[in-house]
Amino acid sequence: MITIVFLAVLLLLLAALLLIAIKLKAAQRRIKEARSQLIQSAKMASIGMLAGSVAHEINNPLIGVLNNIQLIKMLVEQKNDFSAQDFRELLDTIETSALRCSGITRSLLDFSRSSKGVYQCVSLNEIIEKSINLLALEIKINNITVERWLGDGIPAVSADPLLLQQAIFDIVNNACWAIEKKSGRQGGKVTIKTAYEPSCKKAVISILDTGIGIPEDDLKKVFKPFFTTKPSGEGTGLGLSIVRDIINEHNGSIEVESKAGEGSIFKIKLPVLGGEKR
Amino acid sequence: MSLKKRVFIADDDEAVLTSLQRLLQLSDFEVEVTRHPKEIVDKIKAFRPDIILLDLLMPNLGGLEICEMLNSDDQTQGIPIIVISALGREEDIKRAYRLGVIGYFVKPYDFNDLLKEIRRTIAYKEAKPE
Repeated sequence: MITIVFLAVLLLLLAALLLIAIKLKAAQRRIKEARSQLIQSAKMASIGMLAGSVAHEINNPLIGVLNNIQLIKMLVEQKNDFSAQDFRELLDTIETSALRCSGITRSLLDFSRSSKGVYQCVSLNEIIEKSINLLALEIKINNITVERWLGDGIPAVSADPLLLQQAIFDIVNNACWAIEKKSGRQGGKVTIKTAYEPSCKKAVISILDTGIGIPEDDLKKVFKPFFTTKPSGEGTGLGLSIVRDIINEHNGSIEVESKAGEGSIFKIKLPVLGGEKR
Repeated sequence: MSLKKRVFIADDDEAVLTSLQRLLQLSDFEVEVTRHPKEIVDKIKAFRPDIILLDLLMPNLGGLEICEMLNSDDQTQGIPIIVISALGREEDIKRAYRLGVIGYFVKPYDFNDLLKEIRRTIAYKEAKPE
């Protein structure tokens, strides 16, 4: 009798545990979905910020297209000595300008896609270049020099390229903001380095800026959600906390060193794929 | 001596610069150009243009800073400046007008509108008593 009661209690406990496990799993899935939505929302906010840049970046090649079409019309109307070679050269320029427009819209569309959580073999240097390209106007307006020390033969990492690009974009974007706040149009420098540390088999991305820096008291808080030193309307306080989550999800680490008034260094370490080179 | 009116263009975008230069040459102007902001003032002093077309966003030295430099130099002040920029924000336009530019064209502009403005500005400058 005691055995039967014991077994019944055990069964009940098992059923309860199973129910808890199922609910826990469902809750984890909802948290993951909410997190993905949060990351995507943060990315869409960045894209909103990029809208003006994209318009600017497209308008330059677009005027190249329009001017050259106008030029062909004028040459035809004025019945100038207009050879097939001249015509070909103008068409080539139009094509180059149109392809520039298409490259800009494609990179924005790529960036705006939602992450599907697909990890693949990626080159850090390529991801860095794509992130910098998206910020071309910010860099130009604020007279910022971007110095690249991208190591050759850095082993590839297993990463979700969209998430990693978002993380690097956010850090470089913050660097541009910090430089603008310190120096206005006088500009400054962002230095991006990649290296491989064989001892820990990790790729290291260092992003240095000559911006306003972060006060010592704030350094421990910069990765906390909703912490921001930016004025209202210039930041949500989610950027760096999302960056840290993305890096953690890639089994990496991120740390920051900074000196108020002098600049900051963000250092990301990511495990590489077993020695293979890209 | 050439009787053609002289236009100076400063823009760091090669496609814009070359096409605009050819369009203005076909429209009977003498044209000098540069892609490098640091040589603008010297080139303008040497070329003595009737009008300047100036991009705002160039590396190292912005168009508005160049406006200030031109305004404060005896040899270049008074030369009409038209801004040609992909920046169309109200604050940029207001800043440019405050610095004395006489026109502001946001890219992509219509070349014929720009041409009319260039001719109108040069005609006005010539008709205006010193």
